[in-house]
Amino acid sequence: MPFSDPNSAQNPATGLVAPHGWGTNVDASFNFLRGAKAGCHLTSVVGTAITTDTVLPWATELYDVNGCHDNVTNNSRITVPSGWAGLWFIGASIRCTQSGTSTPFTIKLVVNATTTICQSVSVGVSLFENQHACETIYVLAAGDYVETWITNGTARSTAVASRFYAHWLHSGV
Amino acid sequence: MPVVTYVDPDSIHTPSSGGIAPASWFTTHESNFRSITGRVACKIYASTTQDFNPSANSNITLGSVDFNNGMTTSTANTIIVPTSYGGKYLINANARLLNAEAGTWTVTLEIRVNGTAVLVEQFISNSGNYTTIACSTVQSLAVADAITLAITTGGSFPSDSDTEVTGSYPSLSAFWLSA
Repeated sequence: MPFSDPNSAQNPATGLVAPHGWGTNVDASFNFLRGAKAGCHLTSVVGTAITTDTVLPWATELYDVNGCHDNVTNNSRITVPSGWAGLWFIGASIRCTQSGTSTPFTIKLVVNATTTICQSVSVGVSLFENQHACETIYVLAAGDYVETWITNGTARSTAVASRFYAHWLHSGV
Repeated sequence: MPVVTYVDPDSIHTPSSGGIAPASWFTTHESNFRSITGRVACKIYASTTQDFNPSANSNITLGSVDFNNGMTTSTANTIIVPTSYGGKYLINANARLLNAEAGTWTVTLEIRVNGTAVLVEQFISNSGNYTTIACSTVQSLAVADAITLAITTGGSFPSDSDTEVTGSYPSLSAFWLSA
């Protein structure tokens, strides 16, 4: 685990000398706080057809720390790695081609294929090419995965500049 | 709040087991923690309206500082990643369009890095007056990367359109999350 209680190495009484190992433990915990955290940033698969409840694939990583994503296997998912349960910042920005028909267009962030944790609905501008964003902070357990689901009544497809990202914020809530 | 750079405590002193560490060794630990509690962060915003003619492609002037902990320099309208703070950043930007009457046009709000490279963008089309456009992301940035905010337009974008200055927009902000 990234954090280790320094007092588990030794618990110096007031007035006594703390051993070097105690300070080293403090430094290690500090470097965990400052160091790289689990998270990833994905870019779109251009041209993915979107109809009703389409789960978008993400096949390109700008970065992936601690293995949150696989470009091939279950590439629709950002998955919480072991040891990184806690509070996460999650967001997506999806750009879609125009449909020519005004139908509601919804982007959703869905946990474990069941729970919608954030959604953004567009109605009036949904027939044109547009970009739709959705972001939230949510508590996730190790193994939980988040996907981007699109609901749209008229055939469209993803365009360039779509993004999906997540970053671990902290462990305790 | 000053920006604190990490210093390895053992570069100050490496006490042997059972030995006594000097006060400076513990002071270094304490100083390092200040770099976590006082993270680098910055928000800049516009204080004047700006015209955006059709096919404009230009940075937004963000000449005012809302808050700044070590991320701006004398370079106007720019947020710069300081020494020791490369890593993952939460970045946010927004703007509102004035006199952008409905028509056949497009607007893209772009968060750029080091010139014209686009980190993230928000694209809208055929909207109307007072349209608010915003985007945010988590991005990996290196030391000295310079972040700016730009607007590009297309189609029959109204020639008298401006970015409206009211409240907190247009603005650009960044917050260091981790190495």
